Amino acid sequence: MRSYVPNTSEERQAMLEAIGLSKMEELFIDIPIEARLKRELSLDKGKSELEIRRHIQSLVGNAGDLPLFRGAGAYRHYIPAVVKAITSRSEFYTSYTPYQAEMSQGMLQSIFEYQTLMCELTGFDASNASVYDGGTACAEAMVMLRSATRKTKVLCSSGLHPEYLEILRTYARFTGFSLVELPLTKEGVTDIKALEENAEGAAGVIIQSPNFFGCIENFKSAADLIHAKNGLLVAAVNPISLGLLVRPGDAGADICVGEGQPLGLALSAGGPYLGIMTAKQKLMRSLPGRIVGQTEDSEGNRAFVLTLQGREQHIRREKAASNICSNQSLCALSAAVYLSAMGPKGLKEVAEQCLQKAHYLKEGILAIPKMRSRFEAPFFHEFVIESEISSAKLNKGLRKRGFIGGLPLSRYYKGDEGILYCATEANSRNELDEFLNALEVCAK
Amino acid sequence: MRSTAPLLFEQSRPGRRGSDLPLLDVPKLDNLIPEDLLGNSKLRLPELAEVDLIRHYTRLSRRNFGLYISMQPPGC
Repeated sequence: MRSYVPNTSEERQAMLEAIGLSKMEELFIDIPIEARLKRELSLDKGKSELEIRRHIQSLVGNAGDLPLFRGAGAYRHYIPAVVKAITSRSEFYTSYTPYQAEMSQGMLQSIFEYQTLMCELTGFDASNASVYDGGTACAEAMVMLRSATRKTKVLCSSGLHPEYLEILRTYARFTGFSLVELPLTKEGVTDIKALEENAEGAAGVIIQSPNFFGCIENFKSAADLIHAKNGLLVAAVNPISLGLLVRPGDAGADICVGEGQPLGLALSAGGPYLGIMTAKQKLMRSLPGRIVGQTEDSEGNRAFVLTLQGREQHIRREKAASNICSNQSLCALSAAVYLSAMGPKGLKEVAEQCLQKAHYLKEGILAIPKMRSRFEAPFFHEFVIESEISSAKLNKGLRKRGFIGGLPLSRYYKGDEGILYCATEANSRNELDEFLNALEVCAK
Repeated sequence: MRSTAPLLFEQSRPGRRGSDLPLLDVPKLDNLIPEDLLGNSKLRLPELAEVDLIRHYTRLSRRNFGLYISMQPPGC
């Protein structure tokens, strides 16, 4: 297991070379040859932290949380123990808004690093210190569209999370936007023709990928179309998917928003979560909320401060970019620790495992009689299944057998009997197979 | 106390990992996502060991004030 030994094999080799040795065994030359162990230790192959956790839970007869097969905006992922260890330091969780930079350098630097991580992840120049959640970020991006274009007509995909749509409709109703919702194609992605037909005079379009139904949208085509009509593209993303998918900044989007919960935050019955917001440099001054910037102190040392505060309501009052002057510092800290613990390879592995396990699950479900897939567009880690059996009946049966099934779409769309399933790296093969067996029994 | 703390990115060393996942335990399928939807560059995230992270954030926490240290009137 790579992560238990901090230094890499290249670093170990460099250390050996520095003391004039070429192999690790040469360090043990003072031990008589007959006293040395001449074989590998007979130990199991190293296990990851997640496997150890599962093992210890099984020893005490506690299976942990019920196996979960739904996401719909809030996802169960493996959270390395280092995330909680760091965010549990009282200097972080009992600190106040870092207005007084002299006594808040630690928090300010951690937010600055979070912003850099978000810019790298999404492919943008500027990030704020976060807002409340993905839905709020989405609505605040709509406000940014208006300040950038002076137009009030905003297009949005009906593939957005229904709760994000609700927040958009609420903002639109009370702040004078006209919101046009674009339908999905039968494949499950935003209808690009409808976008073309409605793009004239629009401030921009908001599209989520993977969308609420799990399908991957094409940001590039949407960006080309809306830019041709002088509008902007807001890309709403699942940050984990960016371990695999094209970064919205590289695909031509102008603003990126997302729910940061998958980055090291527990499900926690729905919150507190983390609203990610990044943008191109030209839109930086329209970003809502706090931004931390780098500067120098009176002695010329690097230091961090809240910056561009002219955007904020405690300075500009009613002319502020937003009425949000808060951020989710501890959640942003969790996301920064998570991303740094995973690193580029780890995040890619998480995304790849989500993709593979969700496809394994879908294939398994479709092998059960009466189960049908609703959409055929490429998907990341969620998908919709239909059948003649009611979603309530299926989920009741699954719950009895110790599983939390997919999300019945009737929760958001009246009369819709489809079920939105999800699998992540946190679902073991064993869990997936047992779930498929249980579902088959419930579907009889 | 040092007057500055290095950034996460400045401490990155190629190949370091702060966490491992269990190996993929389902059959791996290829070409699930069309090429034009995939990212083509390696993400520039820091590469750090767990202990690097713990030390970094412990250092930052010592450069921060919280209510468990003393009173902090709101607005200050």
